[in-house]
Amino acid sequence: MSTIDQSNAFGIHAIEYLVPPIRHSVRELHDKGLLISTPEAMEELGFEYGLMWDRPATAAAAEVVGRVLKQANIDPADVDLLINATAISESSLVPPNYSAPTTNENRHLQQFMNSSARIQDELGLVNAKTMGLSEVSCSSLMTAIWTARALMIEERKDIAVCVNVDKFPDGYKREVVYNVVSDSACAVVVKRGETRNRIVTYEAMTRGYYWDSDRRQNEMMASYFTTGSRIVQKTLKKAAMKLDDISLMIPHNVSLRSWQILSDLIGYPIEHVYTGNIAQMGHSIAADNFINLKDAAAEGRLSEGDLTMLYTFGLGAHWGCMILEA
Amino acid sequence: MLFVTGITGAFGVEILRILLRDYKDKEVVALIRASDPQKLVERWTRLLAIASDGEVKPEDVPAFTPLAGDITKPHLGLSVAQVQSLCDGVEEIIHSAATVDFDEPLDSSRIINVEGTRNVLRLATDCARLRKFAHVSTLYVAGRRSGDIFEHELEHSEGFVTMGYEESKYEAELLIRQYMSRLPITVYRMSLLMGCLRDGYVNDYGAIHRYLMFMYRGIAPCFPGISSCPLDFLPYDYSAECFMTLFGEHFKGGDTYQISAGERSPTTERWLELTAQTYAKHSASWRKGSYNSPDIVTWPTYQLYKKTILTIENMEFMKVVRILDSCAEECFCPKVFKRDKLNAALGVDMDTVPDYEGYYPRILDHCIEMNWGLSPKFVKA
Repeated sequence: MSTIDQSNAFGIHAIEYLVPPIRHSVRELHDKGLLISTPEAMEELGFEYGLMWDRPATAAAAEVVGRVLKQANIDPADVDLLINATAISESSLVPPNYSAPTTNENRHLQQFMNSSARIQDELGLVNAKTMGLSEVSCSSLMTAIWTARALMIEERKDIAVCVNVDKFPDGYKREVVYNVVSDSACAVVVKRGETRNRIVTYEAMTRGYYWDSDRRQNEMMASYFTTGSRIVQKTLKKAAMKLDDISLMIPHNVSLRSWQILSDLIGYPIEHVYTGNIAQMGHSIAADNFINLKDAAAEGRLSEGDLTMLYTFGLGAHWGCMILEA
Repeated sequence: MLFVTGITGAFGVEILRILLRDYKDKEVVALIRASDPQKLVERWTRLLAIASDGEVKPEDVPAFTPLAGDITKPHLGLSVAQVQSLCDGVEEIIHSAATVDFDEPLDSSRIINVEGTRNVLRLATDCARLRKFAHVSTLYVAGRRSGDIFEHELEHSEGFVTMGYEESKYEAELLIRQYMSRLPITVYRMSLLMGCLRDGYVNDYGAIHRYLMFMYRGIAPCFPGISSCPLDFLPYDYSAECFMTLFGEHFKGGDTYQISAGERSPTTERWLELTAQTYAKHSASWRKGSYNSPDIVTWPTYQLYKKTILTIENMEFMKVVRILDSCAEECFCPKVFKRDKLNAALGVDMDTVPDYEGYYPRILDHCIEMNWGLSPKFVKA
């Protein structure tokens, strides 16, 4: 079943995430003018809460990377690669006035104050190449993991940390295409030779027509399911697998209703889709899949050898599926 | 004298085309709804132009007379003198007038399709010289039946899909059968008529065309149905030729014919595939895969879509749902409309049924060129 040479086998060695401390019910979000639909509609679709950061994304990013390295007992100096994957471009920058006052003379330099470099410095990842990954919206973290794997194969490196922390700008609506969106913070260690959550394959599809997700929202919604079912089939075909082989579907947290439809479409039982976090956490931008994977494992939903399919979608639009072997 | 109702309809226009070709010197009276004599003349002039590709004007067919009337009114809304004139002269009747709107409620569908038919039958009863009465019906009087549907069959208790269209046409056929012992009546059941074989022309954009329009615009995420369910549709002109040949040369009172595609119908899956392939010729979004062919979904999955659309109150998707609600359940009732009697009468076999792979893309080409009937170039009868 494996599509990868064992010497280039990589797995998810560790996952850590943070829960943003500000928690609003959908009714509260609505009262603050942060929803477009009614709270009743959002509840019917499966959402109850949205979560927000009380600090800049860069601060949460350093914290969650620090935690995952500690949890995984990894020396920061052993990290070869750090990818900061953000859905929102603002999240990748260290905000103005973070270290020194921003003046007219240094304002232009703000555009180059990137979070990945700051994390490398703060945590002592002295040997890590750093970079950001953006423009794939909510599929950022999954894309980062696959990119990290490909780079480590090419460069013969062993350990990468991929992190997603996104903070919606203050005052922005917290509803994106009928989904309640929460801020996120999740870090994933990808390690050569790791047999847990071994990365079996990844497939992605971009339909750039939907770059205009505002004007083309209805068309994008119509194609979400039709393309979604196709990316699932494409990924399974790539891995020479069938849907029956997948023990658990690890979704991104679009609405529960969307998952009921998509699981019907692809013929996969909804009971095997991990939907436990949708109501309480909302859609944590690019981090959902890995937050859900960690929680599913902690709840005993996965046994050794189980195959999981992680499914994601990002505005732009991008569809992605990753198969892991637990 | 031939008396015709429904000549302004999509099928009626094709009948008129044939009448202009084959009946030019015969006396033809066409019942047309018009609020005043001027509107009658305007409508008639436009109709002749459409049916003749601009070649024929009213003065070119002095034997053809438009008559302002309405089948839903007593005596068809005609004066005593007009009724008397018809009763004295009519030898043949083609009753094609109906509402074919899939989401017309049953009550209003009955007014036109049942009571309208009753009014025409009453007139026919008083036509002393009547030799032929053609009642234009629909294959979909079969409603939710599945399996082989034969021409002689009518009564069933399977129910109907559309709000009022199928049931009212079924009731009209039941009424027609009551008159069959005293009048020379034959029933002709039409398929779903999509456009013309000769050039793809669409005269009337119905529910299916509107769904196809939404699909073209990339906002039809699903189609409820069974992939293998046959979708029986035919071109207007082919159907009209079959009809007029049967009516003109092989009329036999008491019979029922099904002008169907039968075993030559595409499956729902093939229909959507062919639609998507044709769209890709016209649209970069289709070519690049930004738009996909809708997924064929089970009825429960469609209900989930529908429930979501109602929850989010998305007006565009609600229009699609409205169309699907009006007719898509038909695609869960796979059936083949048999046409053995028709084939025997015309001396043909199923090979003469037009190949949808050839003509259906032309119909879509036309729809796109006419912007689904919204282009100023489109003239509706």
